[in-house]
Amino acid sequence: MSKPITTFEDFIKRILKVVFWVLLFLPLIGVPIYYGLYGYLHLPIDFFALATVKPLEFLAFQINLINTEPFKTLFALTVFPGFTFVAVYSTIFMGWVERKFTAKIQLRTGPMYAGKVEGIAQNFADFFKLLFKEIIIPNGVDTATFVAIPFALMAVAGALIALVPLSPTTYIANPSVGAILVFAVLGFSPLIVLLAGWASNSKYPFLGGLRALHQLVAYEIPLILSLVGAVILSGSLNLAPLVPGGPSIVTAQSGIWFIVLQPLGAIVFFVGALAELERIPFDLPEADSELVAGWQTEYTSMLFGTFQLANFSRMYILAGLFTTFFLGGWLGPAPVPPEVWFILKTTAVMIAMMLPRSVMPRVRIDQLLRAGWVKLLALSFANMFVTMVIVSLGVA
Amino acid sequence: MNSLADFVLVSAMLFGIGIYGLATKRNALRLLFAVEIMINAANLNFVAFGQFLPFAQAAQPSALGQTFVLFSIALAAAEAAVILAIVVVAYRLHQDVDVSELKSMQG
Amino acid sequence: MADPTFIAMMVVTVGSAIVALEAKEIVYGAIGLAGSLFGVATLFFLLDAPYVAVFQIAVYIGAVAVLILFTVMLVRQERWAKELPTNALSKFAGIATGLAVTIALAFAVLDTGLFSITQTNPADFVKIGELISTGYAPVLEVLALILAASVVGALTLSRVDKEEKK
Repeated sequence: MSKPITTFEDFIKRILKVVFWVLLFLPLIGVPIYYGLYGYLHLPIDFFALATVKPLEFLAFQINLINTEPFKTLFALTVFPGFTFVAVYSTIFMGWVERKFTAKIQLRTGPMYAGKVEGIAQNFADFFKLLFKEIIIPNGVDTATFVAIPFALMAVAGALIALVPLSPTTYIANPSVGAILVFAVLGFSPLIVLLAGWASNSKYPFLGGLRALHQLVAYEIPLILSLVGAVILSGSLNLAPLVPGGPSIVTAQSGIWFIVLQPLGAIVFFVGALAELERIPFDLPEADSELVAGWQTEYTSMLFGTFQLANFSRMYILAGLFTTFFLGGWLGPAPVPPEVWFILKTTAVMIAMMLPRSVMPRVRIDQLLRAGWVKLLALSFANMFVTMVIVSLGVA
Repeated sequence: MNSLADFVLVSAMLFGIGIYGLATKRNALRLLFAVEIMINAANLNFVAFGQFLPFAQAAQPSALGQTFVLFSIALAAAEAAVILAIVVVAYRLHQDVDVSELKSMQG
Repeated sequence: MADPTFIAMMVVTVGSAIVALEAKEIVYGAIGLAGSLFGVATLFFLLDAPYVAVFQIAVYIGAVAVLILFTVMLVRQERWAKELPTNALSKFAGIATGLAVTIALAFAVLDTGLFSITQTNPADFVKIGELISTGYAPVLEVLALILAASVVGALTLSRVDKEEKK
């Protein structure tokens, strides 16, 4: 089963391994079994009665602490709907899903070694690899801007994370104009990407930056206009209700999801989101066969890792917005908590966003701009006007 | 607690900076920056007065200040687009965007 | 007295406005302008006017700042990117004028009772929609015409130039 012990080092390793598994499984399995039998068999020792700190009371105390105000916001910001959850879920878990998914479609195996199951820890390993690599700042770059760019991009992604609600109560911020604010904040990214191309002071990043600028500016307008129909139907700009039971985009879908009423809007939003994320088939700014890595070319180590983090976070955000606007957000049958419904739907949308990567070629820049400025814009306007007419006729 | 005067003072500072830029700079883009800063000073005043001062008839809030600022923002965007187009054309014709050098229209 | 958020955003707004005009490298100037516009947007948030703030961010930073930065990179040339120093007298005159205006306005403000007004009565964005679609609808239409005219004008300006180049 495992290799024979030949050296003292192997012996120590084996001992430590046994200790590790015992320590892991004793609390997880042994204690519940012991207490499960405790009531029936009248076992002699109650460990909880011996302990000075009662585990259950301590847990209750912790939960209370998390629900009081300064810690509640801090917890929301840093842990659950906030940064850590998004980083682990989108970058590490969905990043792994994307690699395996693409590999399976192309009849490869994908990452196999890191982690026990199917290389599930591969992205953790990559994260630590990037963390400990050297940060190289090339000669001739504009150092201040160059270093500030990844953090600015991450700040934009963080501001967007705060606006996506996971349930009627699980969110970080819920301004009264949430639906527009999301797109106002998304509008920062062309500025930052253009600056990234300029600050690198190199031709591939600059070309990538210009392409990204054209693409992001062209696809942002259909992206916003495709949601006007959903906003008209729900009569609200809130993503989550401000007061319990108040109007919001998600609660307006309790009867029927907007993807049924707004199929055109959903399609335009999905295509626009793919372009905003610079994913294949719209990955012209990073086209690796022409521009090395586009505007990310000169970045190394964790600065590059920050780009990956920001990109996957934005993918989560746009998938989350698609869920919120068209798939009924957290709505779902009762026993499953709303957050789980939201995450399930978002995961499905993210996988749908990954699907084109393995099957589609990259489009040309003129095709891309024509599709954005002519077709998508016309479709989103058509969707908007049809919705307005239908609503003013009093049908919906 | 912020009072109305705080916002009006910030607006006055921005306006003074804008006037300084208009008076000293000769680069067309810097002039555009100065104009944008002054427009923003005016917008800030609009919103500040509109939010703090109630309508004369009743304590009913009014959105007039915000409405005018929305119009102003749209106008400023149009203005910036035209000015930048002119700057690009002037640069292609004269290889320069220094406004004191653009004298071909002078008699 | 003003709260710390306001003071911080005031420093950002005014500081980046000065950077926008005084930075040696004009790209930094454009970044400074974007910072100043963002500062004004946060001041709008502090004024309980989120709708205007959102449009300030979307239009000014999403469109105007990007357009300016793009133009700066398009027409950037070493010769004037590092600007010629303005002569000392005109610089002094400019600073004096700016300071005089600011101080005059500040004294005008201090003389009035504006410091005693601390109560906002914010209007909902629904009100803005009502105003735009009823009483001020003609303004909106004229504005749409102006926007269309400016877009056509800007396109014409750059297109004529392209044909001349051939």
